[in-house]
Amino acid sequence: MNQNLPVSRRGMLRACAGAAWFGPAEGKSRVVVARDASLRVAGAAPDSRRVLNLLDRAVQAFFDRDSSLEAWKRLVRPGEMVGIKVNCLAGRGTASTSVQLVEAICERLQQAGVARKQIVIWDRLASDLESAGFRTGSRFEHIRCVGNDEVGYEDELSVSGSVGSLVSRTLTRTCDAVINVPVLKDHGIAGVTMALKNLFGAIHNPNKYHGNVGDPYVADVFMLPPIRQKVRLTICDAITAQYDGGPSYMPQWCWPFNGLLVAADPVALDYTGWQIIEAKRAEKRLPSLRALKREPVWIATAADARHRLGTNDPKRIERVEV
Amino acid sequence: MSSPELPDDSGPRARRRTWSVRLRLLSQVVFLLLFFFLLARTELRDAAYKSRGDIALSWPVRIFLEADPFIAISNALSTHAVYRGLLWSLAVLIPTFFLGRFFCGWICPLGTLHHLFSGVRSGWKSGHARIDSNRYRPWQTFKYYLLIALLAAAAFGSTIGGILDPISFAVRSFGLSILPTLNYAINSVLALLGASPARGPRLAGDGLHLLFSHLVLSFRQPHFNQAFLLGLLFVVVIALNLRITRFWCRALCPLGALLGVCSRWSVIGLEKGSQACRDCNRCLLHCQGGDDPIPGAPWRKAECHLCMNCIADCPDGGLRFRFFPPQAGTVEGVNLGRRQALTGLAVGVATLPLLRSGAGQGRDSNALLIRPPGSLEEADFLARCIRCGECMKVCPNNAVQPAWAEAGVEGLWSPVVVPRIGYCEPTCTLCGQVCPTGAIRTFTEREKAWLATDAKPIRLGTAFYDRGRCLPWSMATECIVCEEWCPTSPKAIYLLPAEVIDSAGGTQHVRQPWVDPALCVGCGACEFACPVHGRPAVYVTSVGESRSPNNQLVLSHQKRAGAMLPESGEVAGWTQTRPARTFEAENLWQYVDGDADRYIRAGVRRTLTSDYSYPGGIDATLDVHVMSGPDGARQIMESESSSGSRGIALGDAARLYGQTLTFRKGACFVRLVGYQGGPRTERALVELARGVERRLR
Repeated sequence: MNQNLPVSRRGMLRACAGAAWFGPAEGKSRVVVARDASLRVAGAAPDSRRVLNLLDRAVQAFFDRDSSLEAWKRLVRPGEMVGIKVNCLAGRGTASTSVQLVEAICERLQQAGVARKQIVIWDRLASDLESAGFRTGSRFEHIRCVGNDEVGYEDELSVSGSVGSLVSRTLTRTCDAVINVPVLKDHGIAGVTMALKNLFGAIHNPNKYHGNVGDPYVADVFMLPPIRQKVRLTICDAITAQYDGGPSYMPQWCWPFNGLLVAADPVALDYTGWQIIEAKRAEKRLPSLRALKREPVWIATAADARHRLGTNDPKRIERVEV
Repeated sequence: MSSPELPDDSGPRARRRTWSVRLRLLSQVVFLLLFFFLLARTELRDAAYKSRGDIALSWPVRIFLEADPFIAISNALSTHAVYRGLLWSLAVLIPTFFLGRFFCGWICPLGTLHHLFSGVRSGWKSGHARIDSNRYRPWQTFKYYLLIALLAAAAFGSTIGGILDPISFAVRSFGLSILPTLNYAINSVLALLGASPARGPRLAGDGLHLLFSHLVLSFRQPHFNQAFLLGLLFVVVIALNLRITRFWCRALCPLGALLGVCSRWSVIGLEKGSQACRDCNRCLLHCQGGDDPIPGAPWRKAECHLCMNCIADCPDGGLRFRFFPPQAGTVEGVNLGRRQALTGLAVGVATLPLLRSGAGQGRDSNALLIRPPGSLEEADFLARCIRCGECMKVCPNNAVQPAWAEAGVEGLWSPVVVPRIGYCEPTCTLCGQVCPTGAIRTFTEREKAWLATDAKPIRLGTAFYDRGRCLPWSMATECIVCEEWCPTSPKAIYLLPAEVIDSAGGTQHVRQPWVDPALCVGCGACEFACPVHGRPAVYVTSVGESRSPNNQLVLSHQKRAGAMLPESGEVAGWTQTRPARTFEAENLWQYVDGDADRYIRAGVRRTLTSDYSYPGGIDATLDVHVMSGPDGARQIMESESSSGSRGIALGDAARLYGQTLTFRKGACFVRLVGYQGGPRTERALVELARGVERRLR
């Protein structure tokens, strides 16, 4: 591990414990698909209260707990710095992580004992965060919203497989734990983008790793130690999903899925999300991603013996619909 | 006139240094050191960033030039305006009216050097010859005729007289020749010491390097065209002192002549006590001006430098300077022959048309006459530039060089950018800061606008390719150096993929460079970096320079990038809510990571984007992707599903998906995304798209 990284021994042990606790189990990987058809009362924007209810249902189902508080307390501990890695690449529009969902996560984190000042919402660029609505208004008062371009990257290269990158200092120096909050959407090169691909936003050179449908780069990036050790849970925003034209916002190819995907196993979540997108594409009579030569083969790579980031075997994925 | 007698330099009659001589010496040393200090500080290492982000020199390095009355008057005549910095010259000119040529004897750094070398013993100035050489000679009036000629030339628009101005001469000689030579010599010696196997010399070398790097060493070894000629000229001028004391000051210096004219009314003068004089001629021994301080001959006020040597040398105390001396025995003004004065005037008047009759002043100026950024239009430039070389000295990339024939005879030693030696740094504004006359106006990095798209940039010229020498064009060899070095944003040099046949008959895939003349600023970075040795494969010429309205390519159909986006109010109801942002192929991923590759494969050159709002809470984002050709725009459009869209009459092809509208026109692919649905949004997007289409025509 990079000796310059300001990670204490205790922090390291805690991160490893967290990774072990929430990492792929020997048994099945649980992926919760929570949906609420009436999420949008007014038509367009999702209702904040309903999003909170949906989140509670999803997290309770994932941790198999009766109350959301118990579930969240299994995820974070008081005093920890918790990062929320959103995806604002598409700027304004529903192809970015919705503000209502992140607002709901922040509320539950606080109830679990994480103070507002202990929460960091981060992504690649401050301008993207601003476009997506994370730095306007008062809803995130006292919660830091930072772009990597503001905080910077580590000076020393982190290497994993075919990837060599500088990792965001927000991830390495600020966060004890990370909740990964991507968006369920199509990706013009990598096929789909969700849990694994969202961590491209934690490195300084994501543009270098889009060759060969992102394989094996997407898996290798997630293998970078600070990422693998700190990402505890993925809550995929599928309130509005996009089945084509991604990752940019293309409203003509978006549909209201009105749901969330929750998993600790990013591979299982990506596999599940991929199937959802393929189903929607078939419904819209669009060719499959395989036919378009952008099948997300990196999902299988992430599950292989070298990476072991999770499972892409449908028989070992426990899909829980709530 | 008394005959010269050889004085005896020995015994109690040897020269005394009076307090006035000591004071003059002190003044000369202080001003000479100040001159060298400021000259050594005329470079980037002494620049600091100001709050606005522009670099600025820490010292008033042009103060000697600004205080030069000859430059001030020349510029006032040539430009019919007084450049504000030159008001400093009044600090010299006004006291001259009361004190005479004190500047020549007490302040002028070149005068001090002449004074210094005049004291060197030589065979030409020993014995009677020395005394004789310090008598007044009629040829000393030559400088007044020269002054008339140069001021006449200035009145007709040329400050070519700056070549002979003593401050300009000293700055140019030292800055472009002596200091670079010294820099090279010191570094060579230090390198020898550093390579020594013994520890002592190495340590000495380190210590000396530390010392010299703070005193005279430049942060990089400068090289200037004609450095040898400029150095030789300086040596010759200095060497003339071995024959005639301060020959330059007595015979050539136009500033000395000007101050001599002004000193006519000075209230301080030499009083000769002829009763005590023993005709020893000691007063002539160290006389600097050749003003005849000896009794029996009229003292020439206009020639005297107030060096005070005569009163120090007089063993009998028969000479003294005093206020309001008796006028008897003094030549107050300058005695010029009317015929000679008229000749000088005629020469000055005739010189300018002669200089400008060359082909360089015609319709087609020299392609290699690339002036530094901020330079005025050529006629105005030549009316101000005094060829001092400050801009050349300060240029951090050594790009600014003294002209030889590029600007004709009149432009000799005026500054030109020679990109093969150095390119113009995009963030540098130093040449404008040091120019004492405004020939290069002061400008900011933002005004230069090479790294931004929201302002009209200062252009030096345009780059062109010699495809017969360019590696990807003529030798089937990949090379992207020029594109990598191009500093503008967006880049003026772009690459297009091409299939070429190599010498073995095989097909090679290379990227060939092209120049977008609408974006090129002529900085010369491409020419500087071109790896083709000898004559480069890409070169800059002055066409397109922003200082000239005539020296332009036909670019009326070219538009700067931001011009493709409608402004607020241009399309009814739509307001631009965010400044336009521009992305090139290299950094497009920062805008659309992942999706960028699709555009790059289709040959995107740049992408412009901005946000708009429409009454009723409708917001939209507009993207204009400028591809390398219509095929690229078509490729992008066809790569997107048309499912759920309907065609509309717009551009070459258009699709409306409700909240999204895409169309292509020529090499542009345009996308408008609305953030609210509904038929009202559709109608508004179509109107905005039509506004964009009008911009693309």
